[in-house]
Amino acid sequence: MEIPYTVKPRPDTGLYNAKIGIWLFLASEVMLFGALFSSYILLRVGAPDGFWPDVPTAWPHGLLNVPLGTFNTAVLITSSMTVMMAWTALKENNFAKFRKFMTVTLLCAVLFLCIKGYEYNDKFTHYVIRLKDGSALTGHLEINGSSPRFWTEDTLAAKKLESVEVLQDIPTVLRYPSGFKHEEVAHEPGEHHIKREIKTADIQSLRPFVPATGTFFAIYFTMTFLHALHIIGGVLVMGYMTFVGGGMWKTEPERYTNRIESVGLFWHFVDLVWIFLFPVMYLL
Amino acid sequence: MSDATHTHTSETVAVSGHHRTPGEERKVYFTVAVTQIVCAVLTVLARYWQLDSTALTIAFALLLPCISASLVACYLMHMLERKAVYMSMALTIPFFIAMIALPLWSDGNRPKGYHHATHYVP
Repeated sequence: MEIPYTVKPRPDTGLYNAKIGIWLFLASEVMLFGALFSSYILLRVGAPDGFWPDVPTAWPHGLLNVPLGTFNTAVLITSSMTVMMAWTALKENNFAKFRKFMTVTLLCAVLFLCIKGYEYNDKFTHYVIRLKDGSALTGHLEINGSSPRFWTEDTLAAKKLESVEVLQDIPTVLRYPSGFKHEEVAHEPGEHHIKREIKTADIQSLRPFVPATGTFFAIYFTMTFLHALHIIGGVLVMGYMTFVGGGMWKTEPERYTNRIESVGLFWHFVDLVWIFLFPVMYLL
Repeated sequence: MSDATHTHTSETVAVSGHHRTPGEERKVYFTVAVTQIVCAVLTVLARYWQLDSTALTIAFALLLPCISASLVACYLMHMLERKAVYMSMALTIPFFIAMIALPLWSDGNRPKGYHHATHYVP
């Protein structure tokens, strides 16, 4: 039995069935991400005023790499453009050009994931250290020339380290809204970190920047990882359609074009989500 | 993207009820992409303006992305096509706005002196 309306539009909707399907899916995705954005705002406006990490429950500012995030935004926007260029190439009956544009799209997607992975790794090696005197600081640990991931105060105890070297972050005026007091850290102009040795006995707690460390990290990792999963899904489908499933172009070109159009719609949605995620997570 | 029920010609591509040449189409997509990147850069620059209200800061930081998202929806996803099904899909937009607005509204509606309970501190 032939599947109806894979090429021609249904008379009642005016669209072919795959397009209706992808739009319904995207509508459900709006609900999913809408709920997560709503949760973010609830947590964000509910956080008490103050300077994090001095006030442990305050909302952290400036922990994410804005230039990298901006670059990643440009990468995703470019991929959204090239997927349209690829679809237009199919409309011109130019499969070679289509493949070229789809390859660029896939490369952009992989680049986005690599940059995100780099950012994640930076968070896993970044720590908030609370000292027994009540003060707190953030920075990277330096153990034998490398930055360990996911350590806690228990790790320090297990390794029987007497002290640790920390590359302490220097807060800047830009990073933190004015009006919040924080401890001044003596440093040379232009310096972003200072090396400091801290005795293990003075450390109350050591936590990496992971979801369990606070509500900001929880919502950041939840939303960006869910978005990254969508990117991975898009890469798999686009890669399959371009290189493995390309044979359909010879037998059913219009149906193939429709499939690419549906994939493109999904990809634009992924781009849309990031357009909102970027300012919300990186800039606010 | 329009329905692929149109014949495959190298002259025109049917989009949003209009017929444009592929070259013209590419120009539209390129212009949208450049505008989006400009919007992203402006959003980053707007970070330097520190507003007093958290709610206002969030609302402003979402304005430029909203413009950018509208361009994607209108020109890349072709929601400008006047089809009833798109109008029904567009209902997700007020839903999204409501999801954003409700927590902001509730935050602005707190009694004076009210403080949230202490959060979990690791």
